[in-house]
Amino acid sequence: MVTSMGMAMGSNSFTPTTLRPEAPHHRRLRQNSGTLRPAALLALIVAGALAALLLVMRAAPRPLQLDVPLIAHTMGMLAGYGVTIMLVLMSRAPAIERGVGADRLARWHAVGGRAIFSLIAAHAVAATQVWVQASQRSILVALLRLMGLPGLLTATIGTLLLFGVGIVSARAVRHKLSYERWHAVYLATYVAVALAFSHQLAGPDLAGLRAVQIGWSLLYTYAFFLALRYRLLAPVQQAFRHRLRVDQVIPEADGVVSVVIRGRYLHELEAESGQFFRWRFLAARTWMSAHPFSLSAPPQDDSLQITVKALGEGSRRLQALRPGTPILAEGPYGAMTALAARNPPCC
Amino acid sequence: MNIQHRVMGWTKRAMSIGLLAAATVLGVQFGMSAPAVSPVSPAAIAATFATAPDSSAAVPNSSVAAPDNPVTAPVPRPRPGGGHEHGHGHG
Repeated sequence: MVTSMGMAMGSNSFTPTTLRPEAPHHRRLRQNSGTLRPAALLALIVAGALAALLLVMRAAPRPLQLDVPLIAHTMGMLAGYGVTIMLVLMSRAPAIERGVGADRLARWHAVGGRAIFSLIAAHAVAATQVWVQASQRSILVALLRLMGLPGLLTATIGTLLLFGVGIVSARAVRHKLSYERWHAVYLATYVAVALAFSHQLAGPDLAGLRAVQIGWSLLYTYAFFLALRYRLLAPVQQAFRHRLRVDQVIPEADGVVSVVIRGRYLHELEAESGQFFRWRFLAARTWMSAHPFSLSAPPQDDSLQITVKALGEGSRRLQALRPGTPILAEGPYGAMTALAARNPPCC
Repeated sequence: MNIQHRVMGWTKRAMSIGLLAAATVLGVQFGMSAPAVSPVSPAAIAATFATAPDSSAAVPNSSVAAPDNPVTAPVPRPRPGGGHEHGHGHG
């Protein structure tokens, strides 16, 4: 994604084929868009993490001791909480995408993802050690018995899936895979998170606290709601409403084309110059992947334009797009707009 | 165009509200059906292995024999002389 975005940003240096001023109602409509600033989102995330820690401290035996069980509980709760934050950051909810910016969200997701893998690993090792010590049996016997507890087997499968995704997403492995294959594996993250959910509700820090268990469940269902609403339904909804299609593919330079996209009611998208969409061109060789490209000309009521440089396999295929190809588009995203430049976020 | 725009806006809102309501109902149901006693709390772990005389007999605490549990309560053995367990026999 970083490569594609870099390419998209680089595309701004090309001369746009049709340069018209931005339609005035685009500016009027976007004034009403609610956004969440980075500092506010970070404050919310930290407040949630502190609440999770308080739950651990409440359930811990007195006096508090930094022992293996406390480490297991703390890591487990923070990992369970952090997973929902990762889902929300990548949900593409407009308030977050526009307020924080996709590039910053991707950085937070990368850093947070690594931290969560560490937390899950630490939780698994510490909790297993506590269990083996308590059982006074061999590790194999203790583990077999552990898997028989409610939710533990599914949580273990979920954890293994998550680590599989982590390995595939590591830089050394990631660049050897096509985006389509990597993304197919990445979707397993949602399955992994769902599999680990019941184990969390049965954890000693939540069990017995009905209101907290309901709150924790709502955290998960709302995170999945955001992903479903904005990653899956929004593009389909936009496709029906705006009926985006490739209108022209105009060569700009060697390996560089501008794609003019026609549609209807495009002012409702409230797109601004400097923003980007994730474009999925529904042709035989391109439908499997969505690529982020910035608008390379001011958006109009009936057309949008992107400029694509052939840098990888996916962008090379886009050079051969045919007029009339239908498009699924997610967006607009991105905070690099004239409005944001006048009111920069605090961090 | 304004009417269409409004209809589209209301359709989006209705979809969001419907999904949000479904997520709320699901979340509350998950929370309500969650266990009240953790099977992996330190006390539960200790109870699980404290009642097991050897590794083959150790069982998860959810099925630990309990005197007040009619399913798992220990069955009293009959005495060799045919007497009653609680000792208030026929004299």
